Amino acid sequence: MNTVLSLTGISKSFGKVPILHGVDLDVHEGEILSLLGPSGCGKTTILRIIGGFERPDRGRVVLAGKDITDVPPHRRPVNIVFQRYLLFPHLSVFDNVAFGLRIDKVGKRDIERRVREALELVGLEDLADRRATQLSGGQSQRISLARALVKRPQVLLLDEPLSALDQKVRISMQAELRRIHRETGTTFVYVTHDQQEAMSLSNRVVVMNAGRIEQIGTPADVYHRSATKFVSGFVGDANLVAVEALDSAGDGTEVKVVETGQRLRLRQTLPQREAVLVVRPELLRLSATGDDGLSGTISDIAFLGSAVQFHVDLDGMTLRVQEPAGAAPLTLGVGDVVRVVLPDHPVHVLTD
Amino acid sequence: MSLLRSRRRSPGLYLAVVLAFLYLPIAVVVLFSFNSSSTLNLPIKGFSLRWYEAVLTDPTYTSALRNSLIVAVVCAIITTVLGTLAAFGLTHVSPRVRPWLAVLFFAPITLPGLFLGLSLLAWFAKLDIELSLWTVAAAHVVYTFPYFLLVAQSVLDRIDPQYDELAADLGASSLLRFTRVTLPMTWPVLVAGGMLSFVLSFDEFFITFFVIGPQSTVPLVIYSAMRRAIDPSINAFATLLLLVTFLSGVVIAVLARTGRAARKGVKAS
Repeated sequence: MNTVLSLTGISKSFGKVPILHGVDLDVHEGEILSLLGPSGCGKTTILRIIGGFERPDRGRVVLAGKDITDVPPHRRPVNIVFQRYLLFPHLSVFDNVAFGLRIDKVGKRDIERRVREALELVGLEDLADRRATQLSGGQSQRISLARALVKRPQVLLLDEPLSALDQKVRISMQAELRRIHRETGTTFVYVTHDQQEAMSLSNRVVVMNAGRIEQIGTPADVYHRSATKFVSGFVGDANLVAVEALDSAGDGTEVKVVETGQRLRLRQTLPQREAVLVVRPELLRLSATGDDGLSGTISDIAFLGSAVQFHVDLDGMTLRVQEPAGAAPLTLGVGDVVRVVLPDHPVHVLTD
Repeated sequence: MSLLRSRRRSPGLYLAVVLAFLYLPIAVVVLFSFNSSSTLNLPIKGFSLRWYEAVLTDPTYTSALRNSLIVAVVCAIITTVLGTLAAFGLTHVSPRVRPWLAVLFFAPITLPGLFLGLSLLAWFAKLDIELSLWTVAAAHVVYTFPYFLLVAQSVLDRIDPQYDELAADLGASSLLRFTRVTLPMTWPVLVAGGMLSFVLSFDEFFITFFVIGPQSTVPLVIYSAMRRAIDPSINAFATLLLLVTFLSGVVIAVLARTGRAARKGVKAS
C-alpha cells in the first residue's frame, strides 16, 4: 500500500482554542479515507490543512514525497469539494468546470476534451451550456465534483459534500461517489459527521474526537472492534456492559455485571479481571423462557421497519436489543419480563 | 356601505396629494422649459425648444455643463477605485478591526456639506493649493466615498468568502482570483456605486461653492442666474440636470437588480 499523503504531528489552535493535538495520519494511494467525528472534533481543520487554507502550528504535511506544509493552496496538486457547491454564478456549467484548466493555461482543445470527459463522468454532459444558477442541488454538487476532478488532483478533498442535499439524493450520490472513485482511481479524503455515510463509502475510517484520532480502521474494524468507548458509541449504537470476572473455566468465564450484580456466563476468557463488553443491539436476542443471559423488563418497543428495537430495563441499566422485524416475538409487550441473551460467539471487549 | 366606500376611496386621494406634493414642482419646471413665452404664467402659451437652444448656445451654460461633467466623471472614477479597494479591504481585515474601520470610513456621511466645504477650503488654503475643478473633484470624492462604500458593502457582505478559497484551490493566484471571480461577480454593483457618485457630484452645491476656483458648475450657474433675474432658460437647464440624474438613477437601479439576481442564483442553487 503506497502512502500518497502523510501528516505528522499536526497541531493547530485558533487563538487560545486548541483544535488538533499532534495528529499523525497516512493516506494510501487510491483509497477513500473518511474523517468521521462530531462537529468541532477537528476533521474539517485537517482537511483545510491538507488543502493549504490553514497552516498547522506544528507538524508537517508531505504529499507524494514532497513537503507541502508551506505551499499556498493555489500551488498544491490537491482539489477540494465544499459542502456549499459554490458554482461561479457568472459562468456556464462548461466554464465552471474549465475554470481551473484555464488558470493553468491548458490548450483550448485539451480543455474542451477534458471538460467533456469530466461532465460525462458525473453524468451531466447535456448541461454544459446551462447557466450555473439553473441547476438543482444534486446537479450543482456533481458539477463542483467535475470542476475539482478535471484538474486530476493527487488527492481529492471532500468537505461534507452531501450534507446540503436531501436524504434521497444523498443516498444516490453516495453510490455515484463510489462509482466515480472506481472509474478515476483518485484518492479521496472525505470529511463527514454521518457515520452511515462514512461506513458505506470508505475503505478506511478515521474516527476523531476532541482534536485526536480515536481509531483508524476499516468500517468493519471500527464497528465490530471499536478501540474506545467513544468509537463504539459514535459509530452505530452499542450497549456498554461493565463486568468483573469471577471465575474462568475452560473457554468460558463467569462474570458479574457491575451495575446490576447479575451473573452471566461468557463464552470467552477476559484479558483482565475488569472489562467492558461492547454489544451491538442486533447481536442480542430476547427470550421469554429459560435462564440464559440477563433478566429484565421491557420498557419500550419501537418499530424501525427492517427491525424492532426493544428497551429492556435491568436493575440499574437499560439494554437496547434489536431483533429483525420478521423474527421479533410479536407477543412481547411493554412490562413483560424477558431474558436478554448474548450471542454464542465472543463479544468485543474494552479494557480501559 | 357608503362609509366603507369612502374609506376605500380615501387612500387613493391621499396618494394623489402626496404624489402631487412630490412631483408638481418638478412638473412645473419641466413644463415651463418647453414654454414658447418668457412669462412664467399658466397656462403656457405654446410649445417651443427656444430655451434649450438658448442654454446650449450660451457659453455660460455650456461651460458649466462641461465642468460639471468633468468633475462628476473624475470624482466617480476616483471614488470607484478607492471605494472598491476599501470595500474589499473591509471584508478581509480581522473581524475585531472591521467595525472600527467601517465607522471611520462611513463617518463623513454624517458631516453637513457646509462643514465639509468650509474645512476643505481651509485645508486647501493651508496647503497652498489653487482652487480649481480638481479641488472640487477631490472634495466630491470625500463626499461620495461613504455612499459608494455603503452600496458596495451591502453586496460584498453577502458574497460567500469561500469563493475565494475555491478559486485558490483551482490554482488562481490572488490577482487572478480578483479578476476572474470577485470582479465578475460584483462589477454591476461597483458600477452602480460609481454612477451614484457621479449623480451626487453632478448636482452638489455646498461643497462646490466653497472649493471651486474661477469656473462654475451647473448648480452654481442656476443659483447665480436665479439671483440676477428670472430667466426662463433656467428651467431648461434645470430640466437637463434632472434628465442626467434621472437616467443615472435608472442605470443604477438596473445594475443593482442584475447584481441581486446573480446573488439570488447563488443562494437558490
